[in-house]
Amino acid sequence: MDRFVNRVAAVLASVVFSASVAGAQTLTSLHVRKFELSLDQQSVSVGAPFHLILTAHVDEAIAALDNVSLPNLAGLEDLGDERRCTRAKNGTDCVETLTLDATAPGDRTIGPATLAAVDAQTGRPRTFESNLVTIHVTGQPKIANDTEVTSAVTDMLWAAARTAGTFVLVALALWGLLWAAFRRPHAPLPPPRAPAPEPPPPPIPDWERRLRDAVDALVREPTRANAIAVREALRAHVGAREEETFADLVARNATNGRSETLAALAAVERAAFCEDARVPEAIREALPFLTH
Amino acid sequence: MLDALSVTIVGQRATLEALLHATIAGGHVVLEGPPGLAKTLACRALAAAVGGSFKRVQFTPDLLPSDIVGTRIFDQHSGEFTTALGPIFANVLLADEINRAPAKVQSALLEGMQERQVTIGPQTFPLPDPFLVTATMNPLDSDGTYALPLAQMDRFLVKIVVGYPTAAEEHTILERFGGDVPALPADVASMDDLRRWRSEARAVFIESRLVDYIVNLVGATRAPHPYLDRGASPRATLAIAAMARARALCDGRTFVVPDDVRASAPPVLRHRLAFNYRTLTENVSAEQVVTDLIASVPVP
Repeated sequence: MDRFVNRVAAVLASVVFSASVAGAQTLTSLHVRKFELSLDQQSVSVGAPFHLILTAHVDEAIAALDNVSLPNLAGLEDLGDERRCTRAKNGTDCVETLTLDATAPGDRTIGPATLAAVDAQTGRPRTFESNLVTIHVTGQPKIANDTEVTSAVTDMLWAAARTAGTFVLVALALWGLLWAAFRRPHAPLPPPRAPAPEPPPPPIPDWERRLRDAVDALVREPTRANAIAVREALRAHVGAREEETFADLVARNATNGRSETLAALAAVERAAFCEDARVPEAIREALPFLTH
Repeated sequence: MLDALSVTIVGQRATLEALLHATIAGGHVVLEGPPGLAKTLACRALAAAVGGSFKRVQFTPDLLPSDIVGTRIFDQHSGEFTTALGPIFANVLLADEINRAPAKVQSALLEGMQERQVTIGPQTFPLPDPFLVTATMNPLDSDGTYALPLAQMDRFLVKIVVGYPTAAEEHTILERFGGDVPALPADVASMDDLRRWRSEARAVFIESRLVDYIVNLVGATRAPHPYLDRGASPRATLAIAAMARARALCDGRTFVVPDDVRASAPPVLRHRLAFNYRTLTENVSAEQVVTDLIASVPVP
Protein backbone atom coordinates (compact mmCIF):
# COMPACT_ATOMS: atom_id res chain seq x y z
CA MET A 1 0.00 0.00 0.00
CA ASP A 2 2.77 2.43 0.99
CA ARG A 3 4.65 1.60 -2.21
CA PHE A 4 1.56 2.31 -4.27
CA VAL A 5 1.05 5.70 -2.55
CA ASN A 6 4.69 6.60 -3.14
CA ARG A 7 4.38 5.77 -6.85
CA VAL A 8 1.24 7.87 -7.24
CA ALA A 9 2.92 10.77 -5.44
CA ALA A 10 5.97 10.52 -7.71
CA VAL A 11 3.79 10.53 -10.85
CA LEU A 12 1.77 13.52 -9.58
CA ALA A 13 4.92 15.44 -8.72
CA SER A 14 6.36 14.89 -12.20
CA VAL A 15 3.07 16.01 -13.80
CA VAL A 16 2.93 19.15 -11.67
CA PHE A 17 6.57 19.95 -12.38
CA SER A 18 6.21 19.51 -16.13
CA ALA A 19 3.05 21.62 -16.10
CA SER A 20 4.82 24.41 -14.25
CA VAL A 21 7.72 24.29 -16.68
CA ALA A 22 5.32 24.41 -19.61
CA GLY A 23 3.52 27.36 -17.94
CA ALA A 24 6.80 29.21 -17.54
CA GLN A 25 7.50 28.78 -21.24
CA THR A 26 4.12 30.15 -22.33
CA LEU A 27 3.92 33.53 -20.62
CA THR A 28 1.44 35.81 -22.31
CA SER A 29 2.64 39.04 -23.86
CA LEU A 30 0.64 41.82 -22.22
CA HIS A 31 0.46 45.60 -21.94
CA VAL A 32 -0.36 45.75 -18.25
CA ARG A 33 -1.83 49.17 -17.50
CA LYS A 34 -3.17 48.46 -14.06
CA PHE A 35 -2.48 45.79 -11.49
CA GLU A 36 -3.56 46.79 -8.04
CA LEU A 37 -5.06 45.57 -4.81
CA SER A 38 -7.83 47.35 -2.95
CA LEU A 39 -10.12 46.74 0.00
CA ASP A 40 -13.78 47.51 0.27
CA GLN A 41 -13.31 48.38 3.94
CA GLN A 42 -10.35 49.81 5.80
CA SER A 43 -11.36 48.51 9.22
CA VAL A 44 -13.30 45.38 10.17
CA SER A 45 -13.98 43.38 13.29
CA VAL A 46 -12.81 39.81 13.76
CA GLY A 47 -15.06 37.43 11.83
CA ALA A 48 -16.65 40.14 9.69
CA PRO A 49 -16.26 39.40 5.99
CA PHE A 50 -14.61 41.92 3.72
CA HIS A 51 -13.48 41.96 0.11
CA LEU A 52 -9.94 42.05 -1.21
CA ILE A 53 -10.14 43.15 -4.82
CA LEU A 54 -7.41 42.59 -7.37
CA THR A 55 -7.97 44.76 -10.40
CA ALA A 56 -6.03 44.50 -13.62
CA HIS A 57 -6.33 46.17 -16.97
CA VAL A 58 -4.47 44.98 -20.02
CA ASP A 59 -4.63 46.34 -23.55
CA GLU A 60 -5.06 42.88 -25.05
CA ALA A 61 -8.31 40.98 -25.46
CA ILE A 62 -7.94 38.01 -23.14
CA ALA A 63 -10.38 35.54 -21.65
CA ALA A 64 -8.53 35.09 -18.37
CA LEU A 65 -5.48 36.45 -16.60
CA ASP A 66 -3.03 33.59 -16.14
CA ASN A 67 0.02 33.31 -13.92
CA VAL A 68 -1.37 35.46 -11.13
CA SER A 69 -0.04 34.71 -7.67
CA LEU A 70 -2.25 35.89 -4.85
CA PRO A 71 -0.64 37.44 -1.79
CA ASN A 72 0.00 35.56 1.43
CA LEU A 73 -3.23 35.58 3.43
CA ALA A 74 -1.81 34.51 6.80
CA GLY A 75 -4.16 35.41 9.63
CA LEU A 76 -7.11 35.59 7.26
CA GLU A 77 -9.69 33.04 6.23
CA ASP A 78 -10.59 32.74 2.56
CA LEU A 79 -14.39 32.48 2.36
CA GLY A 80 -14.71 32.68 -1.41
CA ASP A 81 -13.09 33.76 -4.62
CA GLU A 82 -14.58 35.14 -7.80
CA ARG A 83 -12.72 35.90 -11.01
CA ARG A 84 -14.03 37.75 -13.98
CA CYS A 85 -12.54 39.26 -17.13
CA THR A 86 -14.66 41.63 -19.20
CA ARG A 87 -13.86 43.29 -22.49
CA ALA A 88 -13.33 47.00 -22.01
CA LYS A 89 -13.12 49.66 -24.65
CA ASN A 90 -9.33 49.46 -24.73
CA GLY A 91 -8.56 45.92 -23.74
CA THR A 92 -9.71 43.77 -20.92
CA ASP A 93 -10.59 44.48 -17.30
CA CYS A 94 -9.98 41.59 -14.95
CA VAL A 95 -11.25 41.62 -11.40
CA GLU A 96 -10.68 38.98 -8.76
CA THR A 97 -12.66 39.43 -5.59
CA LEU A 98 -11.68 37.43 -2.53
CA THR A 99 -14.05 37.36 0.39
CA LEU A 100 -12.02 37.11 3.59
CA ASP A 101 -12.38 37.41 7.29
CA ALA A 102 -9.73 38.01 9.92
CA THR A 103 -9.15 35.57 12.75
CA ALA A 104 -7.26 37.89 15.11
CA PRO A 105 -7.18 41.62 15.82
CA GLY A 106 -4.41 43.94 14.66
CA ASP A 107 -3.18 45.50 11.43
CA ARG A 108 -2.78 43.09 8.51
CA THR A 109 -0.72 44.15 5.52
CA ILE A 110 -1.69 42.17 2.46
CA GLY A 111 0.29 41.90 -0.73
CA PRO A 112 1.78 42.16 -3.13
CA ALA A 113 0.00 40.01 -5.68
CA THR A 114 2.16 39.20 -8.68
CA LEU A 115 1.53 38.64 -12.34
CA ALA A 116 4.10 36.85 -14.48
CA ALA A 117 3.90 37.90 -18.13
CA VAL A 118 5.99 39.08 -21.02
CA ASP A 119 5.96 42.86 -20.87
CA ALA A 120 4.74 43.78 -24.35
CA GLN A 121 6.50 47.14 -24.13
CA THR A 122 9.94 45.60 -23.72
CA GLY A 123 9.34 42.09 -25.01
CA ARG A 124 10.93 40.62 -21.87
CA PRO A 125 9.46 38.42 -19.16
CA ARG A 126 8.53 40.42 -16.11
CA THR A 127 6.83 39.98 -12.79
CA PHE A 128 4.33 42.76 -12.22
CA GLU A 129 3.74 43.50 -8.57
CA SER A 130 0.68 45.11 -7.09
CA ASN A 131 0.57 47.59 -4.25
CA LEU A 132 0.19 46.61 -0.59
CA VAL A 133 -3.00 47.19 1.35
CA THR A 134 -3.48 47.28 5.09
CA ILE A 135 -6.62 46.44 7.01
CA HIS A 136 -7.23 47.24 10.63
CA VAL A 137 -8.92 44.37 12.53
CA THR A 138 -10.65 44.96 15.84
CA GLY A 139 -12.24 42.60 18.38
CA GLN A 140 -11.29 39.34 20.10
CA PRO A 141 -9.25 36.54 18.48
CA LYS A 142 -11.31 33.97 16.66
CA ILE A 143 -11.05 30.32 17.70
CA ALA A 144 -9.82 28.08 14.89
CA ASN A 145 -12.68 26.61 12.97
CA ASP A 146 -13.98 23.11 13.37
CA THR A 147 -12.36 21.80 10.21
CA GLU A 148 -8.86 22.80 11.30
CA VAL A 149 -9.34 21.40 14.82
CA THR A 150 -10.76 18.17 13.50
CA SER A 151 -7.91 17.74 11.06
CA ALA A 152 -5.20 18.38 13.67
CA VAL A 153 -6.84 16.15 16.29
CA THR A 154 -7.30 13.35 13.78
CA ASP A 155 -3.63 13.40 12.83
CA MET A 156 -2.53 13.42 16.45
CA LEU A 157 -4.91 10.62 17.39
CA TRP A 158 -3.72 8.40 14.56
CA ALA A 159 -0.10 8.96 15.53
CA ALA A 160 -0.82 8.39 19.19
CA ALA A 161 -2.92 5.31 18.46
CA ARG A 162 -0.07 3.65 16.53
CA THR A 163 2.53 4.27 19.25
CA ALA A 164 0.43 3.96 22.42
CA GLY A 165 -2.05 1.23 21.48
CA THR A 166 -0.31 -1.38 23.56
CA PHE A 167 -0.15 0.95 26.57
CA VAL A 168 -3.90 1.42 26.38
CA LEU A 169 -4.48 -2.34 26.34
CA VAL A 170 -2.21 -2.80 29.34
CA ALA A 171 -3.90 0.04 31.21
CA LEU A 172 -7.32 -1.45 30.50
CA ALA A 173 -6.21 -4.81 31.83
CA LEU A 174 -4.76 -3.24 35.00
CA TRP A 175 -7.89 -1.18 35.52
CA GLY A 176 -10.02 -4.32 35.17
CA LEU A 177 -7.98 -6.12 37.78
CA LEU A 178 -8.05 -3.21 40.23
CA TRP A 179 -11.80 -2.73 39.70
CA ALA A 180 -12.44 -6.37 40.48
CA ALA A 181 -10.25 -6.22 43.62
CA PHE A 182 -11.61 -3.03 45.13
CA ARG A 183 -15.21 -3.17 43.88
CA ARG A 184 -17.55 -1.05 45.99
CA PRO A 185 -21.31 -0.58 45.91
CA HIS A 186 -22.64 1.83 43.30
CA ALA A 187 -22.68 5.44 44.39
CA PRO A 188 -25.83 7.39 43.48
CA LEU A 189 -25.68 8.90 40.00
CA PRO A 190 -24.96 12.65 39.90
CA PRO A 191 -27.82 14.83 38.72
CA PRO A 192 -27.88 15.30 34.92
CA ARG A 193 -25.74 18.14 33.80
CA ALA A 194 -27.44 21.19 32.38
CA PRO A 195 -27.22 21.35 28.59
CA ALA A 196 -24.31 23.37 27.25
CA PRO A 197 -25.28 26.96 26.56
CA GLU A 198 -26.05 27.85 22.93
CA PRO A 199 -23.02 29.33 21.16
CA PRO A 200 -23.39 33.06 20.62
CA PRO A 201 -24.77 34.03 17.21
CA PRO A 202 -22.16 35.04 14.65
CA PRO A 203 -21.37 38.74 14.74
CA ILE A 204 -23.43 40.87 12.39
CA PRO A 205 -21.15 42.22 9.65
CA ASP A 206 -20.57 45.97 9.60
CA TRP A 207 -22.23 46.46 6.23
CA GLU A 208 -25.38 44.66 7.37
CA ARG A 209 -25.69 46.73 10.53
CA ARG A 210 -25.03 49.86 8.53
CA LEU A 211 -27.63 48.90 5.93
CA ARG A 212 -30.25 48.05 8.58
CA ASP A 213 -29.66 51.35 10.35
CA ALA A 214 -29.84 53.26 7.08
CA VAL A 215 -33.08 51.53 6.00
CA ASP A 216 -34.61 52.13 9.44
CA ALA A 217 -33.72 55.80 9.17
CA LEU A 218 -35.20 55.93 5.66
CA VAL A 219 -38.46 54.38 6.87
CA ARG A 220 -38.65 56.92 9.70
CA GLU A 221 -37.63 59.87 7.53
CA PRO A 222 -38.04 59.38 3.78
CA THR A 223 -35.55 62.05 2.72
CA ARG A 224 -32.97 62.16 -0.06
CA ALA A 225 -30.15 62.24 2.50
CA ASN A 226 -31.35 58.97 4.01
CA ALA A 227 -31.82 57.44 0.54
CA ILE A 228 -28.21 58.38 -0.22
CA ALA A 229 -27.09 56.69 3.03
CA VAL A 230 -28.93 53.50 2.03
CA ARG A 231 -27.39 53.66 -1.43
CA GLU A 232 -23.90 53.95 0.06
CA ALA A 233 -24.52 51.03 2.43
CA LEU A 234 -25.81 48.90 -0.44
CA ARG A 235 -22.83 49.81 -2.58
CA ALA A 236 -20.51 48.85 0.28
CA HIS A 237 -22.40 45.58 0.59
CA VAL A 238 -21.78 44.63 -3.03
CA GLY A 239 -18.16 45.79 -2.87
CA ALA A 240 -18.54 48.77 -5.20
CA ARG A 241 -15.36 50.74 -5.72
CA GLU A 242 -15.58 54.51 -5.59
CA GLU A 243 -15.10 54.89 -9.34
CA GLU A 244 -17.81 52.35 -10.19
CA THR A 245 -21.25 53.36 -11.38
CA PHE A 246 -24.44 51.31 -11.29
CA ALA A 247 -23.77 50.12 -14.86
CA ASP A 248 -20.33 48.89 -13.80
CA LEU A 249 -21.85 46.88 -10.97
CA VAL A 250 -24.35 45.33 -13.36
CA ALA A 251 -21.62 44.61 -15.90
CA ARG A 252 -19.43 42.75 -13.41
CA ASN A 253 -22.39 41.06 -11.73
CA ALA A 254 -21.45 42.53 -8.38
CA THR A 255 -24.66 41.20 -6.85
CA ASN A 256 -23.76 37.62 -7.82
CA GLY A 257 -27.05 37.21 -9.63
CA ARG A 258 -29.17 38.32 -6.67
CA SER A 259 -31.97 40.11 -8.50
CA GLU A 260 -33.46 41.60 -5.33
CA THR A 261 -30.16 43.33 -4.49
CA LEU A 262 -29.93 44.64 -8.04
CA ALA A 263 -33.51 45.91 -7.90
CA ALA A 264 -32.81 47.59 -4.57
CA LEU A 265 -29.71 49.27 -6.00
CA ALA A 266 -31.68 50.53 -9.01
CA ALA A 267 -34.47 51.81 -6.79
CA VAL A 268 -32.21 53.78 -4.45
CA GLU A 269 -30.31 55.13 -7.47
CA ARG A 270 -33.61 56.69 -8.58
CA ALA A 271 -34.39 57.99 -5.10
CA ALA A 272 -30.91 59.49 -4.71
CA PHE A 273 -30.87 61.44 -7.97
CA CYS A 274 -34.45 62.17 -9.06
CA GLU A 275 -36.12 65.58 -8.80
CA ASP A 276 -36.85 66.89 -5.30
CA ALA A 277 -40.60 66.61 -5.78
CA ARG A 278 -40.37 62.94 -6.79
CA VAL A 279 -38.10 61.81 -3.94
CA PRO A 280 -40.93 60.62 -1.61
CA GLU A 281 -42.52 58.64 -4.44
CA ALA A 282 -39.17 57.10 -5.41
CA ILE A 283 -38.49 56.13 -1.80
CA ARG A 284 -41.95 54.54 -1.52
CA GLU A 285 -41.12 52.47 -4.60
CA ALA A 286 -37.71 51.53 -3.19
CA LEU A 287 -38.76 50.47 0.31
CA PRO A 288 -40.33 47.10 -0.64
CA PHE A 289 -37.00 46.03 -2.17
CA LEU A 290 -35.03 47.26 0.85
CA THR A 291 -37.22 45.79 3.56
CA HIS A 292 -37.29 42.50 1.62
CA MET B 1 -34.99 57.08 -33.99
CA LEU B 2 -32.04 54.82 -33.22
CA ASP B 3 -33.83 51.86 -34.76
CA ALA B 4 -34.48 53.86 -37.92
CA LEU B 5 -30.83 54.89 -38.14
CA SER B 6 -29.78 51.28 -37.54
CA VAL B 7 -31.58 50.24 -40.71
CA THR B 8 -29.15 52.36 -42.71
CA ILE B 9 -26.10 52.00 -40.47
CA VAL B 10 -25.32 48.43 -39.43
CA GLY B 11 -23.78 48.20 -35.95
CA GLN B 12 -22.05 51.36 -34.70
CA ARG B 13 -24.68 51.58 -31.98
CA ALA B 14 -22.44 53.68 -29.72
CA THR B 15 -21.70 56.08 -32.58
CA LEU B 16 -25.37 56.50 -33.44
CA GLU B 17 -26.31 56.99 -29.79
CA ALA B 18 -23.63 59.64 -29.29
CA LEU B 19 -24.68 61.34 -32.55
CA LEU B 20 -28.31 61.41 -31.45
CA HIS B 21 -27.45 62.60 -27.95
CA ALA B 22 -25.29 65.42 -29.35
CA THR B 23 -28.07 66.41 -31.77
CA ILE B 24 -30.57 66.59 -28.92
CA ALA B 25 -28.04 68.41 -26.74
CA GLY B 26 -27.75 71.01 -29.51
CA GLY B 27 -24.07 70.58 -30.21
CA HIS B 28 -21.78 69.98 -33.13
CA VAL B 29 -20.06 66.69 -33.72
CA VAL B 30 -16.69 65.49 -35.00
CA LEU B 31 -16.54 61.89 -36.17
CA GLU B 32 -13.06 60.42 -36.36
CA GLY B 33 -12.35 57.10 -37.97
CA PRO B 34 -10.70 55.39 -40.92
CA PRO B 35 -12.35 55.68 -44.34
CA GLY B 36 -15.26 53.41 -45.15
CA LEU B 37 -16.88 53.26 -41.73
CA ALA B 38 -20.10 55.06 -42.73
CA LYS B 39 -19.26 58.32 -40.99
CA THR B 40 -20.64 60.39 -43.85
CA LEU B 41 -23.60 58.06 -44.26
CA ALA B 42 -24.43 58.37 -40.56
CA CYS B 43 -24.59 62.17 -40.89
CA ARG B 44 -26.77 61.94 -44.02
CA ALA B 45 -29.04 59.42 -42.29
CA LEU B 46 -29.41 61.67 -39.26
CA ALA B 47 -30.37 64.66 -41.42
CA ALA B 48 -32.86 62.55 -43.36
CA ALA B 49 -34.33 61.08 -40.18
CA VAL B 50 -35.16 64.49 -38.72
CA GLY B 51 -36.37 65.81 -42.06
CA GLY B 52 -33.86 68.64 -42.19
CA SER B 53 -32.01 70.19 -45.10
CA PHE B 54 -28.58 68.68 -45.64
CA LYS B 55 -25.48 70.13 -47.31
CA ARG B 56 -22.10 68.55 -47.72
CA VAL B 57 -18.80 70.33 -48.24
CA GLN B 58 -15.72 68.34 -49.14
CA PHE B 59 -12.88 70.18 -47.44
CA THR B 60 -9.78 70.52 -49.62
CA PRO B 61 -6.59 72.61 -49.33
CA ASP B 62 -7.81 75.11 -51.94
CA LEU B 63 -11.19 75.72 -50.32
CA LEU B 64 -12.04 79.34 -49.47
CA PRO B 65 -14.16 80.69 -46.62
CA SER B 66 -16.63 82.06 -49.13
CA ASP B 67 -17.15 78.53 -50.47
CA ILE B 68 -18.76 77.78 -47.12
CA VAL B 69 -20.47 80.90 -45.87
CA GLY B 70 -21.30 82.56 -49.22
CA THR B 71 -20.19 85.69 -51.00
CA ARG B 72 -21.33 89.01 -52.38
CA ILE B 73 -21.67 89.23 -56.16
CA PHE B 74 -21.82 92.46 -58.14
CA ASP B 75 -24.81 92.57 -60.45
CA GLN B 76 -23.85 94.57 -63.52
CA HIS B 77 -27.46 95.12 -64.59
CA SER B 78 -28.69 96.55 -61.31
CA GLY B 79 -25.34 98.00 -60.29
CA GLU B 80 -25.76 96.52 -56.81
CA PHE B 81 -24.21 93.70 -54.77
CA THR B 82 -26.32 90.64 -54.12
CA THR B 83 -25.49 87.91 -51.60
CA ALA B 84 -25.16 84.26 -52.59
CA LEU B 85 -25.58 82.21 -49.44
CA GLY B 86 -23.18 79.28 -48.99
CA PRO B 87 -23.84 75.67 -48.03
CA ILE B 88 -23.64 76.53 -44.34
CA PHE B 89 -27.28 77.54 -44.59
CA ALA B 90 -28.67 74.08 -43.89
CA ASN B 91 -29.97 72.24 -40.86
CA VAL B 92 -27.19 69.70 -41.08
CA LEU B 93 -23.86 70.67 -42.60
CA LEU B 94 -21.41 67.88 -43.23
CA ALA B 95 -17.83 69.13 -43.28
CA ASP B 96 -16.20 66.08 -44.81
CA GLU B 97 -12.51 65.64 -43.93
CA ILE B 98 -12.52 69.00 -42.18
CA ASN B 99 -8.78 68.82 -41.43
CA ARG B 100 -7.88 68.95 -45.15
CA ALA B 101 -8.65 72.66 -45.36
CA PRO B 102 -6.38 75.35 -43.87
CA ALA B 103 -7.18 77.05 -40.57
CA LYS B 104 -8.57 80.12 -42.35
CA VAL B 105 -11.36 78.05 -43.87
CA GLN B 106 -11.99 76.07 -40.73
CA SER B 107 -12.30 79.32 -38.80
CA ALA B 108 -14.98 80.46 -41.23
CA LEU B 109 -17.24 78.00 -39.45
CA LEU B 110 -16.55 79.49 -36.02
CA GLU B 111 -19.15 82.24 -36.01
CA GLY B 112 -21.78 79.94 -37.41
CA MET B 113 -21.07 77.19 -34.90
CA GLN B 114 -21.13 79.45 -31.85
CA GLU B 115 -23.39 82.36 -32.74
CA ARG B 116 -25.69 80.51 -35.16
CA GLN B 117 -25.29 83.36 -37.62
CA VAL B 118 -22.99 84.30 -40.50
CA THR B 119 -21.70 87.70 -41.50
CA ILE B 120 -21.11 88.29 -45.20
CA GLY B 121 -19.82 91.75 -45.94
CA PRO B 122 -21.97 94.25 -44.06
CA GLN B 123 -24.87 91.86 -43.51
CA THR B 124 -25.47 89.23 -40.85
CA PHE B 125 -27.68 86.27 -41.68
CA PRO B 126 -29.18 83.92 -39.08
CA LEU B 127 -28.66 80.22 -39.70
CA PRO B 128 -31.58 77.77 -39.81
CA ASP B 129 -32.78 76.40 -36.50
CA PRO B 130 -31.79 73.70 -35.64
CA PHE B 131 -28.28 73.98 -37.05
CA LEU B 132 -25.81 71.17 -36.66
CA VAL B 133 -22.27 70.83 -37.99
CA THR B 134 -21.04 67.29 -38.39
CA ALA B 135 -17.42 67.00 -39.35
CA THR B 136 -15.40 63.94 -40.24
CA MET B 137 -11.68 63.32 -39.84
CA ASN B 138 -9.44 60.45 -40.87
CA PRO B 139 -6.79 59.72 -38.23
CA LEU B 140 -4.64 57.50 -40.45
CA ASP B 141 -3.73 59.64 -43.42
CA SER B 142 -2.22 62.82 -41.95
CA ASP B 143 -0.24 64.01 -44.99
CA GLY B 144 -1.59 67.33 -46.26
CA THR B 145 -3.83 67.93 -43.28
CA TYR B 146 -4.09 70.91 -40.97
CA ALA B 147 -4.66 70.54 -37.26
CA LEU B 148 -7.89 72.17 -36.23
CA PRO B 149 -7.48 75.33 -34.12
CA LEU B 150 -8.13 74.55 -30.46
CA ALA B 151 -10.78 77.27 -30.36
CA GLN B 152 -12.69 75.42 -33.02
CA MET B 153 -12.19 71.99 -31.50
CA ASP B 154 -13.64 73.39 -28.28
CA ARG B 155 -16.78 74.36 -30.17
CA PHE B 156 -17.51 70.78 -31.11
CA LEU B 157 -19.66 69.34 -28.37
CA VAL B 158 -18.30 65.82 -28.80
CA LYS B 159 -15.73 63.88 -30.74
CA ILE B 160 -16.95 60.41 -31.59
CA VAL B 161 -14.38 57.75 -32.41
CA VAL B 162 -15.79 55.35 -34.98
CA GLY B 163 -14.40 51.84 -34.89
CA TYR B 164 -14.52 48.89 -37.25
CA PRO B 165 -17.65 46.72 -37.26
CA THR B 166 -17.61 43.19 -35.92
CA ALA B 167 -17.48 40.21 -38.30
CA ALA B 168 -21.19 39.57 -37.80
CA GLU B 169 -22.01 43.20 -38.54
CA GLU B 170 -19.89 43.08 -41.68
CA HIS B 171 -21.84 40.01 -42.81
CA THR B 172 -25.05 41.95 -42.34
CA ILE B 173 -23.65 44.88 -44.30
CA LEU B 174 -22.92 42.56 -47.22
CA GLU B 175 -26.31 40.89 -47.07
CA ARG B 176 -28.30 44.06 -46.63
CA PHE B 177 -26.62 46.35 -49.10
CA GLY B 178 -24.50 44.32 -51.53
CA GLY B 179 -23.45 47.02 -53.95
CA ASP B 180 -26.56 49.17 -53.58
CA VAL B 181 -26.65 52.60 -52.05
CA PRO B 182 -28.26 52.26 -48.60
CA ALA B 183 -31.68 53.85 -48.34
CA LEU B 184 -31.92 56.77 -45.94
CA PRO B 185 -34.55 56.82 -43.20
CA ALA B 186 -37.43 59.19 -43.87
CA ASP B 187 -40.34 60.62 -41.87
CA VAL B 188 -38.97 59.32 -38.59
CA ALA B 189 -39.22 62.68 -36.89
CA SER B 190 -39.55 66.31 -37.80
CA MET B 191 -37.69 69.50 -37.06
CA ASP B 192 -40.44 70.33 -34.57
CA ASP B 193 -39.82 67.01 -32.79
CA LEU B 194 -36.14 67.82 -32.57
CA ARG B 195 -36.86 71.27 -31.12
CA ARG B 196 -39.22 69.68 -28.57
CA TRP B 197 -36.61 67.08 -27.60
CA ARG B 198 -34.06 69.82 -27.08
CA SER B 199 -36.46 71.74 -24.90
CA GLU B 200 -37.25 68.62 -22.84
CA ALA B 201 -33.56 67.81 -22.50
CA ARG B 202 -32.84 71.24 -21.08
CA ALA B 203 -35.45 70.56 -18.38
CA VAL B 204 -33.85 67.28 -17.24
CA PHE B 205 -32.88 67.53 -13.58
CA ILE B 206 -29.27 67.24 -12.36
CA GLU B 207 -28.87 66.70 -8.63
CA SER B 208 -26.28 68.89 -6.90
CA ARG B 209 -23.86 66.03 -6.18
CA LEU B 210 -23.82 65.21 -9.88
CA VAL B 211 -23.06 68.83 -10.65
CA ASP B 212 -20.08 68.49 -8.30
CA TYR B 213 -19.11 65.28 -10.08
CA ILE B 214 -19.11 67.04 -13.47
CA VAL B 215 -17.04 69.91 -12.09
CA ASN B 216 -14.59 67.44 -10.50
CA LEU B 217 -14.24 65.52 -13.76
CA VAL B 218 -13.31 68.63 -15.69
CA GLY B 219 -11.18 69.87 -12.79
CA ALA B 220 -9.22 66.62 -12.85
CA THR B 221 -8.08 67.43 -16.40
CA ARG B 222 -6.54 70.69 -15.17
CA ALA B 223 -4.55 69.18 -12.32
CA PRO B 224 -0.85 68.53 -13.03
CA HIS B 225 -0.65 65.40 -15.12
CA PRO B 226 2.34 63.60 -16.67
CA TYR B 227 0.70 63.39 -20.09
CA LEU B 228 -1.27 66.64 -20.26
CA ASP B 229 -0.21 70.19 -21.01
CA ARG B 230 -3.66 71.69 -20.68
CA GLY B 231 -7.06 70.59 -19.47
CA ALA B 232 -10.60 71.24 -20.60
CA SER B 233 -12.42 74.57 -20.54
CA PRO B 234 -15.67 75.40 -18.70
CA ARG B 235 -17.36 74.79 -22.05
CA ALA B 236 -16.58 71.13 -21.43
CA THR B 237 -18.43 71.31 -18.10
CA LEU B 238 -21.51 72.62 -19.89
CA ALA B 239 -21.08 70.03 -22.63
CA ILE B 240 -20.97 67.07 -20.21
CA ALA B 241 -24.11 68.32 -18.50
CA ALA B 242 -25.90 68.77 -21.84
CA MET B 243 -24.88 65.32 -23.08
CA ALA B 244 -25.86 63.70 -19.77
CA ARG B 245 -29.28 65.35 -19.95
CA ALA B 246 -29.79 64.15 -23.53
CA ARG B 247 -28.75 60.63 -22.58
CA ALA B 248 -31.16 60.60 -19.64
CA LEU B 249 -33.99 61.83 -21.89
CA CYS B 250 -33.28 59.13 -24.47
CA ASP B 251 -33.37 56.61 -21.63
CA GLY B 252 -36.83 57.81 -20.65
CA ARG B 253 -35.75 59.58 -17.47
CA THR B 254 -36.34 63.15 -16.31
CA PHE B 255 -33.25 63.14 -14.12
CA VAL B 256 -29.56 62.40 -14.63
CA VAL B 257 -27.78 59.50 -12.91
CA PRO B 258 -24.00 59.04 -12.49
CA ASP B 259 -23.90 56.67 -15.48
CA ASP B 260 -25.12 59.47 -17.76
CA VAL B 261 -22.30 61.74 -16.64
CA ARG B 262 -19.61 59.08 -16.81
CA ALA B 263 -20.71 57.92 -20.28
CA SER B 264 -20.81 61.50 -21.56
CA ALA B 265 -17.36 62.48 -20.34
CA PRO B 266 -15.06 60.66 -22.83
CA PRO B 267 -16.55 62.06 -26.06
CA VAL B 268 -16.68 65.54 -24.53
CA LEU B 269 -13.16 65.56 -23.11
CA ARG B 270 -11.06 63.61 -25.62
CA HIS B 271 -10.66 66.45 -28.14
CA ARG B 272 -10.34 69.21 -25.56
CA LEU B 273 -7.19 67.99 -23.82
CA ALA B 274 -3.73 69.04 -24.96
CA PHE B 275 -1.50 65.97 -24.72
CA ASN B 276 2.25 66.47 -24.36
CA TYR B 277 5.16 64.76 -26.11
CA ARG B 278 5.32 61.97 -23.52
CA THR B 279 2.18 60.35 -24.91
CA LEU B 280 4.13 59.90 -28.17
CA THR B 281 7.49 58.91 -26.74
CA GLU B 282 5.96 56.46 -24.27
CA ASN B 283 3.35 55.24 -26.76
CA VAL B 284 0.50 56.01 -24.38
CA SER B 285 -2.91 56.19 -25.99
CA ALA B 286 -4.78 59.43 -25.47
CA GLU B 287 -7.94 57.42 -24.99
CA GLN B 288 -6.35 55.58 -22.09
CA VAL B 289 -5.33 58.86 -20.45
CA VAL B 290 -8.92 60.09 -20.67
CA THR B 291 -10.26 56.81 -19.30
CA ASP B 292 -7.82 56.85 -16.38
CA LEU B 293 -8.62 60.47 -15.59
CA ILE B 294 -12.33 59.73 -15.46
CA ALA B 295 -11.73 56.64 -13.33
CA SER B 296 -9.71 58.72 -10.87
CA VAL B 297 -12.74 60.80 -9.91
CA PRO B 298 -15.02 59.14 -7.32
CA VAL B 299 -18.60 58.59 -8.44
CA PRO B 300 -21.12 60.24 -6.07
